[in-house]
Amino acid sequence: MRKFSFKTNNYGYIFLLPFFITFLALQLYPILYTLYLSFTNLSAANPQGDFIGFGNYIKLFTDKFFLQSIGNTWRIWIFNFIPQLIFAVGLAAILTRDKIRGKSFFRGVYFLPNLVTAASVGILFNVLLGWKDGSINNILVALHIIGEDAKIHFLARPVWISSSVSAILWWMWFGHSMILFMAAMIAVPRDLYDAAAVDGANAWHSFWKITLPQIRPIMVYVLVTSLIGGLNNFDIPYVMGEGQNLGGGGPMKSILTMVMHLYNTAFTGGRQRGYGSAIAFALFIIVLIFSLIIFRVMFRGRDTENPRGV
Amino acid sequence: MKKVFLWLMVVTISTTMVVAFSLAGCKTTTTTEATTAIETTTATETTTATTAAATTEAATVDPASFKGEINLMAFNDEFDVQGAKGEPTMIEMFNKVYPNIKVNFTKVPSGEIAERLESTFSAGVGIPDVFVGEQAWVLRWITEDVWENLSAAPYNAEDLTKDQFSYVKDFVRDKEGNLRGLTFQATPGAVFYRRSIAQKALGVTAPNDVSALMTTWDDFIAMGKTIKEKTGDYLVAGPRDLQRLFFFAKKQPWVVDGKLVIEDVVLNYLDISKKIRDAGLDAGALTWSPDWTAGMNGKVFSYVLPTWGLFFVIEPNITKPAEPVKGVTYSYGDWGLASGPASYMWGGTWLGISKKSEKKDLAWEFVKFITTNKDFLKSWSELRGDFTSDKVVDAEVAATASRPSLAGQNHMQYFLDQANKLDGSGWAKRVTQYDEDIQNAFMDALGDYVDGNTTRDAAIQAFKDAVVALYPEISVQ
Repeated sequence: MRKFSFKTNNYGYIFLLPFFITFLALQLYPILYTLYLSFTNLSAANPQGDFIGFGNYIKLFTDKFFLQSIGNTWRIWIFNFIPQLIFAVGLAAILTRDKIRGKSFFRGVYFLPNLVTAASVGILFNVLLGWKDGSINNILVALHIIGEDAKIHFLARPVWISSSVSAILWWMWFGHSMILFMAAMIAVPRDLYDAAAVDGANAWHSFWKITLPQIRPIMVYVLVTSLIGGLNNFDIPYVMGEGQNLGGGGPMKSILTMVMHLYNTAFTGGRQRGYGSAIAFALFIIVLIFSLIIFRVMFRGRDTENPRGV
Repeated sequence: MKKVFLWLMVVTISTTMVVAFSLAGCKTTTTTEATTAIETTTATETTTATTAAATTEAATVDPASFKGEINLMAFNDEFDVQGAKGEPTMIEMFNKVYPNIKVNFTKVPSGEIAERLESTFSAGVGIPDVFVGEQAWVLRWITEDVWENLSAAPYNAEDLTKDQFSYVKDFVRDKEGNLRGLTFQATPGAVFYRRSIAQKALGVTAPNDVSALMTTWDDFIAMGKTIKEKTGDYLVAGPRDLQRLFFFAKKQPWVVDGKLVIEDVVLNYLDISKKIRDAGLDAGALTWSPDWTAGMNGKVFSYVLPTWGLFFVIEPNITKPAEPVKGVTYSYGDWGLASGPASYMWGGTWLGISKKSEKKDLAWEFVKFITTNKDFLKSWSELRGDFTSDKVVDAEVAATASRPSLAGQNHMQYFLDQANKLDGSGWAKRVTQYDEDIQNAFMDALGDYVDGNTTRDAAIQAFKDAVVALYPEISVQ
């Protein structure tokens, strides 16, 4: 029998051990258990939980709240992500130029909303968007943009509340994305710009032809993380939901996201853990498919390119 | 040497991680012996002297002879937050009499506590000796059979609670009619109104006169129109505030034989709410929102709240704080309690003893003291203004009570009259464990109808769909 010897080379595995133990116990096991639960009808009414095959997954296609929540989740994410990307890239381009004064101040200010907790954001925007005594309405009336009787009931109108949630997410996240883009832009070699300038390119051309292609990997990263975060969206719609029934999903369920529906199903009412698990897996599959698509589209033909030219 | 050092490091890191994880789950605050710091009022002192006489069992046993620790899990401020003027907490008052029982109190927010308790039940470990149930979910503890039967020996709670309102007891009886929990409070409801607005708009201020103006829903709306015309104030903060008045008036449970029952009184709520909104009689504020709270010092005439609304909701918001907000006139002393178009009760917390507890004797002393010790209940009511579950105690306190925030109105007498009315309503038998979720689903549908997002029929359909989504086992027509 070979004597167990403790080679210095093996230390690495030991240092990895805490991560793997917690990963296996607190992540992999729950994931697999969720998969198992998604094939049962475990709920408060069926505490034993019988095996029902794909029953829960079939039910997903007829669950109008789930179908609506898919639309809501995408709508909220897209209307947050497009302006977020434009602002983040634009501001990053401006702030990485040497001439701008106090750029670290702006960088801090734009990032700040990201540090505010969802609960505080909820209270803040509920006050701002209040109806008969809301701040925004009072400002609009004071500026004579609308009349006293025409105050907008933001929180009760599906269009307004959905756009508000997108706007809040935009406000919270564009600073974060901006910092990532700034880091990427600073890393772009200066000689590329110098060469372009020699060839007579203006700032606009340099931006489109050099900066954007160079920061593509970071854009993919931001897009994928934002997509995953956006499809898992829960806290802001939850705290902005109408009334005391927080999980309600707002007027006409217009801000009921997929994770909120999952939460409502598994943890409120009849506590349908089995069906809730199926929603969780459906969500996982959706995120997986779209992440793969993005990778394929953004990196198509990337292997043959050699952007640095070295 | 290097090897040993690295090994030590690895072991330390992994141990720290494991310990950190296990600690994350159990933040416990210990409340004990803090009693010494409290300036006790005469009321608390008499407790010690008379406990022996008040309870038959204690007549032979000295409370100080009970020694040990119990774990309590609750969401209530009553257990660990002193009153505005430093009035003692329930645990402090308990320790005055039982100095040797240490109560380890774990406070969990009300929105999370039921789920947290459920997870201790399924894990089988960490179940507190005593835990609470709120009106919205206490029936789960009874269906799940996690609480001791307090009607049986050695507790014999029926005798101890013979002076209590029957509706607070009936609510927590199991199928066999046994008591599973006990409560220190009864929570009849009121319509809190602003006297100054009543004076200007209606020409009256006295509670009876205001009550007389709103005996039916038509009167209520007519009164709102008068207020709007005369002073421009709002009748209510929002139509959602009225829900308890309608839900309490139902004649049947929400679910009968697995079928959802939508009664006319509930549909009437849709119509009344719509009328109020269309006539511009509400401030359009959602219950508990900042707008809603601001209305108390603003333009809102009435709030529908029960006993605890007085000292947990109204008073903290109408009392001028140390740093007053500019432009706000605090309405302390400008309030009154009237009865609205219907009677109701709302909320309440019941305490029960875990079946798995290993210290049932100590746990029982705690539950018994908090919920049935008349001297304690009396001082609690006098100190905090709470309305207790004991009729006799309430009548004693009501003999002299007068609340400055309500312009000296005797709130205890008002609540006593209301509670006596509720006692015969049979309400406790109509409640199901589905109620809170069903009512929340209804409120969502009502909101969409009142806000003009949908039609009446579509709102009712949306309500039915929401109920089925929450509870697939309930069938709807």
